[in-house]
Amino acid sequence: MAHRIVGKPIGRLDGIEKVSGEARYSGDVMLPGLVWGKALRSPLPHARILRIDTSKAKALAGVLAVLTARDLPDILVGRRMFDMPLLARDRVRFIGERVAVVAALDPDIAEEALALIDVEYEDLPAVFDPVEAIKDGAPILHENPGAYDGAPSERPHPNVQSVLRFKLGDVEAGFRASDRVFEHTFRTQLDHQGYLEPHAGVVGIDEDGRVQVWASNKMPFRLKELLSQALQLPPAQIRVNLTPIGGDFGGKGSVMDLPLAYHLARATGRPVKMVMRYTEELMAGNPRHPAVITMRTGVSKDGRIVARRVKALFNSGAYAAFKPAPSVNLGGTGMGAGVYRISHLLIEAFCVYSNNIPCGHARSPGEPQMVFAGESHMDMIARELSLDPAEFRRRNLLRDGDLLANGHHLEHVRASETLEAALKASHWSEPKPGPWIGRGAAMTHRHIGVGFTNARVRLESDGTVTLLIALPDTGTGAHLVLRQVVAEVLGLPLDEVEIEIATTDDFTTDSGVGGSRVTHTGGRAAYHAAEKLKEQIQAEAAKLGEPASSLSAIAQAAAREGRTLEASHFYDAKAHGAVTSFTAQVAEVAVDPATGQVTVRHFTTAHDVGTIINPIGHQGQIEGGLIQGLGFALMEEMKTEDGQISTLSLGDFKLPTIQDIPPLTTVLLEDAVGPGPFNAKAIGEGSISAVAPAIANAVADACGVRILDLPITAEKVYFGLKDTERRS
Amino acid sequence: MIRLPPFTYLAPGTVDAAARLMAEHGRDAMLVAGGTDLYPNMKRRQFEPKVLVGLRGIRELRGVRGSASGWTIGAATTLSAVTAHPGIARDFPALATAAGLVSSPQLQNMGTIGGNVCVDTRCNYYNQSYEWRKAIGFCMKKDGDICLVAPGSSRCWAVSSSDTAPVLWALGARVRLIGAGGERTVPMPALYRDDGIEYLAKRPDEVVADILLPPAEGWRSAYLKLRRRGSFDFPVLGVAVAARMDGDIVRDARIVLGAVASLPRPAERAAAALVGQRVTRELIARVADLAAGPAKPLDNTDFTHPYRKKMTRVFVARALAAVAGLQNGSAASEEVA
Ligand SMILES: Cc1cc2nc3c(=O)[nH]c(=O)nc-3n(C[C@H](O)[C@H](O)[C@H](O)COP(=O)(O)OP(=O)(O)OC[C@H]3O[C@@H](n4cnc5c(N)ncnc54)[C@H](O)[C@@H]3O)c2cc1C
Ligand code: SF4
Repeated sequence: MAHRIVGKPIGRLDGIEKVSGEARYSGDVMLPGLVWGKALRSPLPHARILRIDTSKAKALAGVLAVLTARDLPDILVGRRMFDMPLLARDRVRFIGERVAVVAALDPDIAEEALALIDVEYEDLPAVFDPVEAIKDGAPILHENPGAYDGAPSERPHPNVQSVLRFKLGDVEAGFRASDRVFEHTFRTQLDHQGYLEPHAGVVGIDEDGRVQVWASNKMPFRLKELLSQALQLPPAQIRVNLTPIGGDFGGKGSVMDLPLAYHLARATGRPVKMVMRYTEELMAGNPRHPAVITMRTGVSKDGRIVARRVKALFNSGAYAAFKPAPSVNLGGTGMGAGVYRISHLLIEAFCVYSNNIPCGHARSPGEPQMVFAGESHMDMIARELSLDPAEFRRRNLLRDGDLLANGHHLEHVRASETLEAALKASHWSEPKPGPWIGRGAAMTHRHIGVGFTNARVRLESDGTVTLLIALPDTGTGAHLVLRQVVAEVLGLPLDEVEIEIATTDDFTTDSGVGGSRVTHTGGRAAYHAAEKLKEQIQAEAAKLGEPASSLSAIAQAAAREGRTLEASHFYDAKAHGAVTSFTAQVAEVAVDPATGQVTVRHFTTAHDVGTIINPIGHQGQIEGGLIQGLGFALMEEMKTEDGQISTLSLGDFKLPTIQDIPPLTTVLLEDAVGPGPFNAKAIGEGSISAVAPAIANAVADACGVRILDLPITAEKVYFGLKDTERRS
Repeated sequence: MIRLPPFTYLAPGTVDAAARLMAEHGRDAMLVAGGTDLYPNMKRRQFEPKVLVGLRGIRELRGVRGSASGWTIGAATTLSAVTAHPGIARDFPALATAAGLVSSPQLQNMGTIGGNVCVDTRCNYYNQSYEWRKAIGFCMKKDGDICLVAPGSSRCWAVSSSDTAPVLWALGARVRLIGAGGERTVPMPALYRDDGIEYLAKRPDEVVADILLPPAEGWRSAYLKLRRRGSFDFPVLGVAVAARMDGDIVRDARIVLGAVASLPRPAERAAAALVGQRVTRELIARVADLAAGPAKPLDNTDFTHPYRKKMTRVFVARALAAVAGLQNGSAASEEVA
């Protein structure tokens, strides 16, 4: 079906505001009398707090309040499992944990005050490695984690937060029936989401005693619920005001500093702003979980996968509080099965406590880790079987009707077309252009996110339409997509559809941003609301009896009767796992044999997609995810020694620069079968996960060195080459 | 965001006035040109000057001038201007390359060559926030009295991290210094000291006014830089090679390594082994071995130090091949990022 506005490459309408500094982010919110909050953080990974002396800080001119855990209610916070104190109470569990918080007239005074707080600690034995943490006799982080609200019941060791299991068939029987069995272990690193706007928020208490919140948070309604719990206030007493968000990538769903800002606001009678420094983000944000993953796969003589067992240990750090899923684990774990039909499957993932930074959600949580392991493992097996890695994949790809590890039967499976498209576009079967050049392929697939969104559309007296929504735009351009949907439905030019950002007072609920759901849930809510408005407009036009009457005439006619033409829709997408989107990627790399340096010469990414609503935004998601995947593959790493992170600036924590980005070929296999508006699917998390294994596989193809732990650095490849030389 | 502490900013109109202000305020004062190194360091409380003497308003410090006796580069000339200067690019390609590889284009537009040769030495234990250093225990470079990289050492081993310094050294540059008590011109090596803390041999009141380059006259040069990313990152190893060639015979040569010690480190024996020789692959291999010999990287920058040591050899060989016009077998790019 041809569309007028849907499918058009429309550039970002909020772009000028953002690049000119006009856009007001949470950290820019200024209120009369506003003061600044700053937190003092633990320098030790595990210690008892013996004494905190705040007297000097309190005496400093310009300091309005200094709070420690003793001044706060004994509340634990979290997103699903509530195990984290607002401020450390008697004990700190990681370097960077907040032990006191200050409010002062300006941020300099607040910093100065922090330096005047005297804390006496007594070291406790600490544990950092997840493998060590679940051994007998390991230091215990939480005495009774089962007692925490939201804690899963299964707990094989006190340092296990949660266990997530996926099971098909009988894995042991599967191994017995296999001709050969392969086992490999992989490790991935601690990695920050890399959003440029750090966590920031303002909390004020207004004349009516309501708590007004401006926060860099992607789920305003969930935030309201979580704050209601953390602050022990009825939800109606809290209003979350939406602001633009400077990147989220999964990391902005918690209460973070907001409860502290609230308590400071209470203590000072002033609105309080807290903005994390990037150093604080890198020591106490909620980064991607590092993982240790063992894959064991049994295959038949003809290269078919019979059974697979996956065991993953996620190093979750000191608290489980940042994980939102009911499992308190990482859903991406299910991708241990890859894009393959495996009749006998057992995946087990353990999130483990340790004295490190607590980890949270990051773009496609758990998947980049799992897909790196799974797709590297596939190539290693193919090599052992003397099969072309593409051919080995072909023989095992999912097909229509196949069962996923999560129990869903798949429909519209385009795994094989997607793979073939990527192979063709990357010239897979042609000779490589020279020595030390290699190609590697990797695949993944991703479900289309579900959730619920409220939208309201209103016809204005000038004939334009306003879309009211409380679903934040985290920087993806989602609001533009929603305007396109409304404009399409109503037959309006784009600039006659305005968006109005609602607050949590305007609606009852919204699942917010996450899990590749926004175009789906927000898009459908906006679509149906616009459809309803269209019916009203048509009815109104019929009443007027003038079919050609303008929208403004219709609106004004209704207004004369005291009516506003307005329609709302609450769209609640139920879990549906039938349609997913496949991704196949091919990296072509050159390895410099003298230095081990890896240059990605070319990258090909093929996606099985639904209707594309905005090709610029769509491509932006593909490229953004890919670049994040590239950083994860080659350079990003929060280096940690005994819980102490040393890469605490964006100079030392290496996000890719534009110089590091390879030329890209994108192949889109459009198929209008998605559940989104106009049959859109999801794209936000499709391009990130297969990048690292594609590069690892290409490096192995180029020089024979198999990298089992990310990132793939020059030194690892170099010493790998030396090892090979020595052995031959 | 980390905020700058309060300070007084003085903006003299001449170099003499700047030098006098420096002398007047003594240890409380520091010079600032582009501020791209100094301000971040102040934010992290690595520098705590009360007074900054700004060089941006001094016109005589800016610009590249050529003459029969060579080139003069004003110390406050930006790195972008140095890279873009056609005379520099023609006569001293290594310098144009090095200036163009400093951090990122944005910082090259702000950063100056004078600031680049005076840039602070670096170390993983020092280029950290105040709180981090406090938590880990301060080291002797700032606020403490031990070395965390080499415990037991009585000196600091922070690493010279300028891209242009090794190149200027290899090119035989001199610097004109103007102090409160007069001016002097010294060769590049005399600007540096082998100490991570007192890495400059000049007096604090002395302003680097000009960098003087001799005529190119048959000299060829190349610079290679090792870093993690294609932009933004400080050198983890820099190799500057300059050679005066007579046909394919080397008449004179200098090899200077950056980021392997607290000052640019000349590889004199290696350079001497080139003189009078025809450049062949065998010679390059021998010279590269000699050059890598003195490099003793410590574990205080990005990349592991055994790797940095190995790379010295590779990079020297590649830089030599580039200068000699030999195409190296693989990836002899100007920069290996
Ligand atoms: C993210 C980042 C990346 C960087 N990457 C690199 C890199 O790759 N390579 C590199 O070499 N540098 C790098 N730098 C450091 C810096 O940007 C450059 O060295 C730049 O050339 C410094 O020049 P400036 O004019 O900004 O110096 P300033 O910061 O103004 O000064 C630096 C030092 O030199 C002194 N100084 C300045 N001018 C004079 C003068 N005329 N006489 C005497 N003393 C003087 C100052 O007192 C100060 O001690 C980087 C910096 C950042 C923030
Ligand atoms: S080399 Fe030693 S003394 Fe110097 S900065 Fe590093 S840790 Fe400090």
